[in-house]
Amino acid sequence: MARNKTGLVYLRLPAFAQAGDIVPVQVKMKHPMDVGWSEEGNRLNPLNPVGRLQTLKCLFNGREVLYADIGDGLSADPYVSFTLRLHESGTLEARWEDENGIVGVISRFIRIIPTPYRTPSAATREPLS
Amino acid sequence: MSDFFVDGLSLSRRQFVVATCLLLAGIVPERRAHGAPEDAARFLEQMTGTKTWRAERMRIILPPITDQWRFVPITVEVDGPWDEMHMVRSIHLVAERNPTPHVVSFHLSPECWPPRISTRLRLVRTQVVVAAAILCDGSVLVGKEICKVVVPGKGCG
Repeated sequence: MARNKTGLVYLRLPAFAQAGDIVPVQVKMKHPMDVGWSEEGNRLNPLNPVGRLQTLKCLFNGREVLYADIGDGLSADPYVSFTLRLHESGTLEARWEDENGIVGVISRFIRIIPTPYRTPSAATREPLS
Repeated sequence: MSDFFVDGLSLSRRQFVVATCLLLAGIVPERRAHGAPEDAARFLEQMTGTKTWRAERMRIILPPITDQWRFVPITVEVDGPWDEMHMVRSIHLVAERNPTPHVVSFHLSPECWPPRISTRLRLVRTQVVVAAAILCDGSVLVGKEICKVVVPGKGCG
């Protein structure tokens, strides 16, 4: 099978959130992250180097909210989790790129619902006349 | 000592051996299998552009002991007030004893609130992981945490 030019990336975030809530976002990238270091010695052994990821961008409605510059020390199948505080609905897009120019893109929609009206509790309610 | 190098062209056997050893010691480069904390400090100085770091407000959650060097989970949080001036602009992770100390650099926008990042590292041996956060006013916060790797690896990546 010919090598697929589109990489895999998983993006997990809630479908709904209230305005001002803290939204957890999890990005998992499917990539071996192998630059050819041999297991036995500490030398480059490029038998089958696949390359590694270089950048990860997360865009919300086209604005960049997270940019990761990735080095050698990140594990295979890298996992990045961060938090967002959103005030409007929109599309969150995660996009990685590796050394060979392979790009993985995914986007998810999140709907921000307005904060519901809270009825005042009995202690603060105006007494009925 | 002075008559040791006087007749340089007609070398005795002892002089030849000493000269050869000196030459080889100069030529053969020192091979280090792992990095050193000085490399990590130099790298951090390059990334942050300053050497005045403050060791406060950083919270690093790292397992104190692990036997899987390929997947070491880490969580970095920055405490304190996150107003306009003190919002976190970027977070750098540095592993001191890895062959390449640079692990990952995150550049955050103000929508990443609170500044909290979780990821997974490769740690080839027992070492100190340094996390540095650069705030919007240019100050640098640094936190350190040690992780003991029971079954170490050799190469990184």
